[in-house]
Amino acid sequence: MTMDDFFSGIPVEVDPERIDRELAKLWKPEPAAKKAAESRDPSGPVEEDSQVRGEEGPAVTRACLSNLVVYIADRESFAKARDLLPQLGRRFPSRMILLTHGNGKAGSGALSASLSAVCHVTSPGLPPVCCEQITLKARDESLAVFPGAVAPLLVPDLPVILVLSSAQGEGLVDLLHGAFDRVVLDSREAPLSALKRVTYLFDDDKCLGVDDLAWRDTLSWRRVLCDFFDHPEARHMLDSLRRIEVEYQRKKGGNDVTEGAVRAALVAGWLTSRLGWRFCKAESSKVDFSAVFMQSRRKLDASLRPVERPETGPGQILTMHLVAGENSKSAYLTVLRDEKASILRLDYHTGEACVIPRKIPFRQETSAELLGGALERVTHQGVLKEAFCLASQMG
Amino acid sequence: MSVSTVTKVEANPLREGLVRRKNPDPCTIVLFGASGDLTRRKLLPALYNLAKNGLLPSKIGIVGFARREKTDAEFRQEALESIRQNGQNVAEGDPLWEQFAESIFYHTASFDEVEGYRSLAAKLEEVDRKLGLPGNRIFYLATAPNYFATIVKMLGEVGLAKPLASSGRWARAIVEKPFGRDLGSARDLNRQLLEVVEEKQIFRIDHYLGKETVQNLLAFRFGNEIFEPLWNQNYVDHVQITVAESLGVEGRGGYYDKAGVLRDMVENHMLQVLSLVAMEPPVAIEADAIRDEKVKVLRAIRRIHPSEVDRYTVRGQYGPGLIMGRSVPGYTQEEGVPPDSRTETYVAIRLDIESWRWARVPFFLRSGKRLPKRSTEVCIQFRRPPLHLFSEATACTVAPNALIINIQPDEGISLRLGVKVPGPDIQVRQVKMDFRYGTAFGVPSPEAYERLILDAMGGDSTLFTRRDEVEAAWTLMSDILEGWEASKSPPHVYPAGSWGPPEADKLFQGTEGSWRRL
Repeated sequence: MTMDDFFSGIPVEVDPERIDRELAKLWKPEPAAKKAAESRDPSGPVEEDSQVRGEEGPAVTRACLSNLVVYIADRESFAKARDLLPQLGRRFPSRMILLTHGNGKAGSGALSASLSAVCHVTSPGLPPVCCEQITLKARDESLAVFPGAVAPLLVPDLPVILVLSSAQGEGLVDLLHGAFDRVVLDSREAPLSALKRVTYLFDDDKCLGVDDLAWRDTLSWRRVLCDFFDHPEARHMLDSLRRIEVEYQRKKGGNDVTEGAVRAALVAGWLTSRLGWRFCKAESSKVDFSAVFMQSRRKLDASLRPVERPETGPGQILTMHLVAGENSKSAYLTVLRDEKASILRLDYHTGEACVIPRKIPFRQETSAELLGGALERVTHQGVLKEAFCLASQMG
Repeated sequence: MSVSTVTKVEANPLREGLVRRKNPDPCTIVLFGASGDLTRRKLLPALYNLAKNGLLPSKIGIVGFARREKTDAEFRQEALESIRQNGQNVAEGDPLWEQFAESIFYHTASFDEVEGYRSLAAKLEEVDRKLGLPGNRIFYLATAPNYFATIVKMLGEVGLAKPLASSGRWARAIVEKPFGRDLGSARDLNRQLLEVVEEKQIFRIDHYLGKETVQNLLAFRFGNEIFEPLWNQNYVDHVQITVAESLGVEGRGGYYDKAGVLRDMVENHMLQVLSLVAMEPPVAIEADAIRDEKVKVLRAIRRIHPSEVDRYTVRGQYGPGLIMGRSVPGYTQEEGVPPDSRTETYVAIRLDIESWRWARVPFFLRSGKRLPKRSTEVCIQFRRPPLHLFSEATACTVAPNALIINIQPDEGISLRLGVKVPGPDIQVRQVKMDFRYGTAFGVPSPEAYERLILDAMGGDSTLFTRRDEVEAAWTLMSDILEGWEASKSPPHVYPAGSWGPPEADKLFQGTEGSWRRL
């Protein structure tokens, strides 16, 4: 494998047993630079150099903040991940180890492997910043082959972060037990029932930092609600909350109303858990599903409903509606996503008055941005765990 | 950062787990000097960017105040243009811009006529009614410094400057630099402001403190265990702080000639950076705890007696020269600069901090215009090992360990160390370990002004200078200015594009160091 191949960005197949050696060779300073360094008069000034030079191309800077182990079960997700990783390399350069299934040419055993560099330019005139991507393909559907292959490839002293879908590959968590520090789930496309299967990750004995891209994707909604209730005059609404309604984009071809409902359930779970409500029961119909929460003798209804709106991805939250108080003391808060204008419209009404509506900037983050955010900042485990547990019960 | 903020945040049960702090209380910001360069280039774009990122209070009013006749609509249009010129893409009909524009107003008045402030008070009440604002005010003094005291006095006269404690409303004043031009004028200004408002209402801005890397000095020093034990005279040989600019006075010759680099850079930015580098750990990450420690450093710096200025300072003035192959005029040929000007465009200073931690560790500061490149950094140079175990050549060619904190443009931290060259003999070669913000974090750092405006709205004065800090800094600088005034020798002329006058090297006499080649 040559440096040109490596830095071309196109994965080049290598023997899995030679990955480490190939990488060591590729990241070495070029012979000319090395010769120059050797022939330099040792009594003369010494140049500081932390860069690697391509054989003919410009120097590059190698960056690595973590070991990112990404499990991709199917071909469609693999294509998405391949597009996502270069963007992620720009935000959080890491040794990216992609685990998937399929046939590759190199290697005769149960695994095949390929290598490529992921590079980007930070500022004009500066050398590109590069990190490496290693793809390991298991020839069958088994996960058992991965732990032994991943362990020697991890860069020491850097965090190891496992990224996987909530619906697939959770077996890897146990197989890689002790080899990673954090797990980032992607529950965005998972059925609501999948949340139950992964709640055990929050067990204290696991000592894992857990995050979820679906949870990250609800951040704007949670912020808007939180900021709104910072106002003392609005705070009383939380004390008399009696109904929460969340509308989300229906998953195409979905038969079950809970399909694609993870984000809606998480934000409802977050709100109820923060306010100290306990889950009581859940029901579903053809058009929506609902849950009842209790606190002392008070009751709170949460209704989650799939709807269809153009220009919005499946599972994304579209509207939140909160109702508090009774009769003339009722208060209504609606947060509505305006996709075209990239804003959230917030309306607050009470029995007597309508407060001036507000527009809050909103941008749907890409998968790379959500994952980058999860890698950069550790989410509050207690808050996520409680929201996750309540959301999983609603399914 | 303040205790009160934390208490409020905890009161909202939804706030837990959200990294971002509470949005500030709704308020109106009055921009004095609304037609000026700072408002156009920095303040309006910063406010819009904050709005775009959802960081502004839920309701806000922005009122421009200047002498030039203008309508609200004209000021809104100017604001839009300046935001666009600063790289923001605002499309026609953008709902966020429309909401932001609805919060912008303009008030025509003279800075020194009380009638204009009376009408301002009426206008602010009208804005409050229109936007449903509770009457909190920020007065941003982005004017020429000679108006600072007048504006605050007038605000006091019409009752706008005092917080209305019973209603919980507040009023704050952000004061731009320069804060005085010597100790006497800084004290006068403090006194004049404090006759009208309380210290906690004054936010003296130093935009360097809004820079991410400057704030990182605290995180780096007090968030890591390994450096602090070395951060003292036992291990540090000397410290160098450099603020180099490749630009000249850029059409500001008239202003600059009255200031010079000592007033423009050293008294504020560089002494602030120095105090963050040299301070003791604060008892808490709170405004006064941090500023208490910073002011102790400034007070511990040995004053340079006016008769000592030639020994501890070197001043220079750039002459004609070449920068990147382009011929540039000398300082005295710049527009607005008198041909016989003695204003310094370069300064190098040796400062000694007389404290237990820093005794025998000189701090070398240099700053200048028309230097070869733009670079701001702090270099902590450590002592050499006590014994040269390796070859004599190694001792000469491998520089001692150094920790370099790059503030701009390439923000990051580097550690210089010696390692063995592979081979049968033992030779030590110097290498550098690098951390770069741009490489490690894909998210760009926010503009300094955004952070500082937001802090002032939230009432957090950690990144603003306190009265005693300003006066301690001016005490040091006034001695130097007095010495220069008395000195008969003019500034050394250095060619534009060079690293300043060679005389600056003499400051290192008696030490092992020399100016770093940047």
